[in-house]
Amino acid sequence: MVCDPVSSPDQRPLIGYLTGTGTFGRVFLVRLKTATAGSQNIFAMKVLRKTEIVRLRQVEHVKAERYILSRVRHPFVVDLFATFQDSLNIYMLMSYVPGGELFTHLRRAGRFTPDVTRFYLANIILALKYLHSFKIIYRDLKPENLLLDSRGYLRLTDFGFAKIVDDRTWTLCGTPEYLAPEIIQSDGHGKAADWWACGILCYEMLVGYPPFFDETAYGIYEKILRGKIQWPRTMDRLSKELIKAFLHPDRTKRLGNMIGGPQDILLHDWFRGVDWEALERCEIKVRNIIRYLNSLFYLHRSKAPIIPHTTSLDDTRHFLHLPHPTLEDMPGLIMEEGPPPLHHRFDPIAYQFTEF
Amino acid sequence: MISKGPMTPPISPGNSEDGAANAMTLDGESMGYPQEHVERPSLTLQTSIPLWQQPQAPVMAPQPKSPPKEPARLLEDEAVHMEGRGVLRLLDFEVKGALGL
Repeated sequence: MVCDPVSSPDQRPLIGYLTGTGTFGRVFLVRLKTATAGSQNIFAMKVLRKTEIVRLRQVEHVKAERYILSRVRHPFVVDLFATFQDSLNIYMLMSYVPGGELFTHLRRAGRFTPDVTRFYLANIILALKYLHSFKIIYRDLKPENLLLDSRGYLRLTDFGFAKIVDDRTWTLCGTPEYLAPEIIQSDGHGKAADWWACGILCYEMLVGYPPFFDETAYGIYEKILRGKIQWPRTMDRLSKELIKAFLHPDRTKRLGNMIGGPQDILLHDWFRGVDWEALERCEIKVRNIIRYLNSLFYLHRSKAPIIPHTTSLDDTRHFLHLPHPTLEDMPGLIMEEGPPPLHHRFDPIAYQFTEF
Repeated sequence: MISKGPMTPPISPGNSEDGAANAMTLDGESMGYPQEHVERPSLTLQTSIPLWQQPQAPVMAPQPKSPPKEPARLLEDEAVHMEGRGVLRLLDFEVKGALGL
């Protein structure tokens, strides 16, 4: 689906923008009918319409998503188990992450405390550090793409814009509020753009809305390039310092992209006390602060800030409820389809994704 | 649903130990940012024309003082993580619900 063209102030469309996979794909909760007792039988199935992938020239992005997700495994990245295709769609079988989007929880809470923000940001930093170690840049960090698993840890999802990059790439993609200046300026971008997005995410979690926003995408870009950030009076010095370090317009001076690499982030004072190794094992030590008779007591327990309430493995209360698809929309779920006739294999409408 | 208990922090830096820094209060409203679920679509551009007005002359970007090149870390083969072809079929699944876009 073509999204509104980005308009300049004089209303001339700059160039055709296309939305990401969200507009030509849907995600379904599916049950594996042949699962044996005790084995996992509930999954998320991402379904992308082939004609739309081709029409929107997203073939390479879809292939990259499959290539990358099929080769990575990290506790804070969604798992891809299998892919399929039929005459209409391609299918990605993924882990079902029942807690819903961080976006929903953030909007419900308004904003998070620094400690809650620290927990989620630490999850993301470990995921990005892992991806970057394989030269994978993610390029679409935002609360909508972060899902809460049943224990309350985050899972990064939607790798439609992820790419393996040696140094820089020039394909422009992402979400306006989260774009780094070098993306807007078409200066070539790399891992540093993900660390910029971390700064935006940190601000949005602490404040409740992103640092640069406007009614139009063009207005957002202007503000990003101007670089003026409104700081709430009550934001503590260290949080401000961290966000500024991520949002350094000069990527050579941006936290995460300097000589120390991501280790600089892990060692930043704002994260002091975080046990990164325990966190990556999903064994965080957290503490509740209890004030009693004017004294402070620390209660240690191992739980994430938000534990999504679910009553069954297929509980979908944290997701929007959309109409069921018609099975005709997913013919492969009804009957086995034979291989396409030879002449169809070269038909752009009946495009065959050889990798799927 | 969010659990009823307080949002519990991980081990915190010193500046928030008394919990005071957690009591974030903002200056008035959120300056007009819509708080409801407004779609923020991911975008991709089909040309290499810059978003911003192209600079009149190409500007030499400073050479990033990026981290030293790390030894290449190889991705595992997909067979390590994925079900082999033919092990699962689409017919093995039934749709239980629609989760979103």
